[in-house]
Amino acid sequence: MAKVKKKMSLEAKRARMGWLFVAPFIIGFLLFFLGIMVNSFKFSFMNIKTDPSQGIIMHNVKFENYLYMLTVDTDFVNNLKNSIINMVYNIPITIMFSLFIAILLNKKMKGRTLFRAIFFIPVILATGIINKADAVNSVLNAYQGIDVGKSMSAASEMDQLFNTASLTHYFSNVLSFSPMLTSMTVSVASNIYKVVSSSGVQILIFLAGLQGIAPSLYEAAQIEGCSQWESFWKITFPMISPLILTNVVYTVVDSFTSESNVIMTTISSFLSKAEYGKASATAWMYFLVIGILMIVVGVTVKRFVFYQNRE
Amino acid sequence: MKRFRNKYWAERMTKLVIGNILRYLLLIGLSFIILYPLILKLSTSFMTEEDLLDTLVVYIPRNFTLDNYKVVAKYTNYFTALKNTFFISFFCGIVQMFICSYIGYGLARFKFKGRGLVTMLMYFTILAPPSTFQTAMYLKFRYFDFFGIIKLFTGSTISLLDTFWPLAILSFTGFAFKNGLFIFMMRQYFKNIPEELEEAAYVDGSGVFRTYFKIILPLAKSMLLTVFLFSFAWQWTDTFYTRMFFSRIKTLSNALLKGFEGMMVAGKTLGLKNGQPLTIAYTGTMSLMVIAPLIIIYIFAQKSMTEGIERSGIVG
Repeated sequence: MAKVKKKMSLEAKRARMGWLFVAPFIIGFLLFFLGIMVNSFKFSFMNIKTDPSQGIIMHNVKFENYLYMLTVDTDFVNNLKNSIINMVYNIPITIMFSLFIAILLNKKMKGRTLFRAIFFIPVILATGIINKADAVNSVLNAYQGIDVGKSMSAASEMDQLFNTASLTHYFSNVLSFSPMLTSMTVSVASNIYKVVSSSGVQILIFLAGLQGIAPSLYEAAQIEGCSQWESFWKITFPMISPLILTNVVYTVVDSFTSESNVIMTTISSFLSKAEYGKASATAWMYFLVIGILMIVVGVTVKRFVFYQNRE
Repeated sequence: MKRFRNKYWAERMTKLVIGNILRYLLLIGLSFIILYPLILKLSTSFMTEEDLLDTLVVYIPRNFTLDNYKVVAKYTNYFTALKNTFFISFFCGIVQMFICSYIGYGLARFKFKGRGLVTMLMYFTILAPPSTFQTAMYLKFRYFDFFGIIKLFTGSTISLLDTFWPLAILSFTGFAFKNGLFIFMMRQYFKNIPEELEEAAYVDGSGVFRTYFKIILPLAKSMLLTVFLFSFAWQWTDTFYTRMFFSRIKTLSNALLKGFEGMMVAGKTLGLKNGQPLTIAYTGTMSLMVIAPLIIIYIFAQKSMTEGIERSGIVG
């Protein structure tokens, strides 16, 4: 009996076009990522030794690497916990802060271009060629102990804007703050730099999103008598909520994979000791945890995201 | 400007003025935090050695000099490096901008089988930091072989190092630095565009690609520009890929570190030692010379970011 060939619906046909769009990514994935992921996964089960005469020898040790990280190594689980707790603090602060700044930078005002350029600087410094050059110098400075006030401060005070000791002194003695208030204010002051420099990317993303909101929406709202506060929550917030998801994902990933994170340094120290097995095992476990976190956070945020579509 | 004489006028004006003052205060304060290290670098870059050692000279140099800049430019081949870095960053920026939005659109709009899987892969890419696949990538490009085809033709693999190809291939497949994030950004943005636009285009007989290039893409201008700025800036200051792929071609980030070492070595004559104030001044100058062009380009690009691009096409 002859089979009747079912014609594909237009929608199905159009859906298949998606593959054409995603094709470059697939090619790249097969070329680069897949091999590396598979290899790294294999490595995590092995103990790698380099033998000068035979090259690389791999012994299959099954789960030994994983168990090692979970039980023998004292710091790993603790560091993991700390990182997660830090992240819970950092994400809301960073997102709210960067949204606030992006809104400020979006209004027409004198010097807007200049301010935008200034807030772009942390983004540039995010990948640290400049940081590296500074770090090289500041560590060496510490050993040389040469007292060169201003030029030294350029290198080593990137992280410490104020001398915490003198600030504490000022707050508690001169302004007679209570000890608790002092410690709070000082910690806020010394954390500001961290918050500002880690929200550069988010600010830009939000800024771009804000510029896509049609001003006619605001005008209409204003005519109807909406206050600024209301128009923020009813117009701005829903319109950029997809980007809030983007920024949350980015902040999570960034806080976990930035090079100042303890676990990343653990991994790189393993790599420099050529213990590829342990490095891979650590990395995989770590990324598993981050992945789960991302899924949890992502699903939570997605409920609040408003897409302008029936999707 | 006609003053609207109204009993609420005074109230509104004061609110406006206070609001503006607070806004400026906050912005200026934060800007200071960001700029402080740079200002320090700037002032030390104009100082001579005596000024650096003179404890009374803090911010304003007594002997203004351009010597630091000249020395740095000489030892790091500044202008060659600048030219190279500019072209590389520009090319990568443009390609990544287009490719990432292209891929992001596919993920946002088309419900094809396996879309979930590809989205997951995209998340993977965002997650894994480049340092974890450093060696593997180096080897891939050292012994490059496109799925076995090249071996068929020439009998062995080719080395793509020190050419432009590694970065080009990475950019064209959406696997350059942080491209996963760009794809994600564009996907979110495209999801937010109402479907009616595309449906109207399809009804009018426009094909998928035409709709994409003529209608959807112009709408995403601000996002596209942001992606371009990110990839341009990160490519400009990148050490990871440039160190891996370019050992002979001079790029700015390479030049900075190499030039610094060069000065150390050649600078037995310059009398440079680590930690000395002059060294710090040189490093600072180098950093500034790397960042400054970038900021200038950013300022120019900013001019085309206008507020609130009116979303045309949807009426009623």
